[in-house]
Amino acid sequence: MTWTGGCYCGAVRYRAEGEALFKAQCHCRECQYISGGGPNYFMLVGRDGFEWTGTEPAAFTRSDLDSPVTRRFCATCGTHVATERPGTRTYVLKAGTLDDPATYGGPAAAIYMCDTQAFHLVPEGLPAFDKLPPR
Amino acid sequence: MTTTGGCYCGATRYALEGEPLRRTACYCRECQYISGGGANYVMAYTPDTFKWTKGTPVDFARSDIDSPRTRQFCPTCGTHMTTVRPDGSMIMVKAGTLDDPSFYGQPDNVIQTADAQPFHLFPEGVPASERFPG
Repeated sequence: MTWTGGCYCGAVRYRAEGEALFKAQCHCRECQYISGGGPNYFMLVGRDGFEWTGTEPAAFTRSDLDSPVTRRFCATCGTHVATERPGTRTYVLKAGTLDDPATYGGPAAAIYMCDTQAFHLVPEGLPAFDKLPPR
Repeated sequence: MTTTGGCYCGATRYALEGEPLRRTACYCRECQYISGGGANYVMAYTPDTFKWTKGTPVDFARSDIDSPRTRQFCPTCGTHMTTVRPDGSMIMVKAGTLDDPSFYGQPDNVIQTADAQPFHLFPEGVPASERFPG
C-alpha cells in the first residue's frame, strides 16, 4: 500500500509505503487544540517507508516535558501533517492530509477518552480506552 | 461575559465577548485538512466581540480562488484558531482553542455534509446542510 498526501496548500507532501499499523481517533486535550476541537483521526505508519516529498514541514516540540513528541506542520498554511514520537519507528499520520481521506477507512479504537468533550462522537461498538489500549 | 482561549503553546491568545452567534460543525474537505480529518467545531463571532490579546497569528489565504477566507494560526505551534470571512464580517473561532472547550456545548447546525468521509459521524437531531443552510 502506498499512501500519498500533504498539507492544504500543497507545499508539504509525503509518501508512506506499507500498511497502517494502528488507526484510532484520539480525544486528548492536546489533539483538541490542533484539530479545532474534535477527535483527531490518525494512523501509524513505519518510518522506514516514509518520506517527505515536498517542502520539509516546520516542527514544534514542547520544552517543558520529558520526552515530548514533535508535531510537524506546514509553515505556510499551518496544516498539521504528522507527529513523531521519541523512541518509536513510526509516524503518526493525520487522515485529513491523505489525498483521499476515504482510504483511511476508519478508526479501530478511540483513545484518551478521559479528556473527551460532550460534543465528541464515537462510533457505536468501537473499543474505547481511558488512555491507551493495553499492550 | 468574557471567554478566553489561544493556541497550544500559549504564544497567541484571544478574548471573546458574549455568546457566539452560532455554533457549527463543518465537514468540508478544507476543514478536514486542518482538523486532522474529522469535523471542525467552530463558533461565529463578529469583529467587535473578538480580539487578539497576545502574540500575532500567521494569515493563510489561497491565491488561486476568488474571495478566499483567511485562516489564522500560531507560527510557533501551528494551531489554527480562526477563519475569517473574505469581507471580515465574521470570525469563526475553533472550539478546541478555548481555555475550556466545554463552553462550545453542542453544534446548532452541521454544514458541508457533501464532503463528509465514510468514517464521519453526525450529531443526532441537529439540522444538517449539504453545503450551507438556506
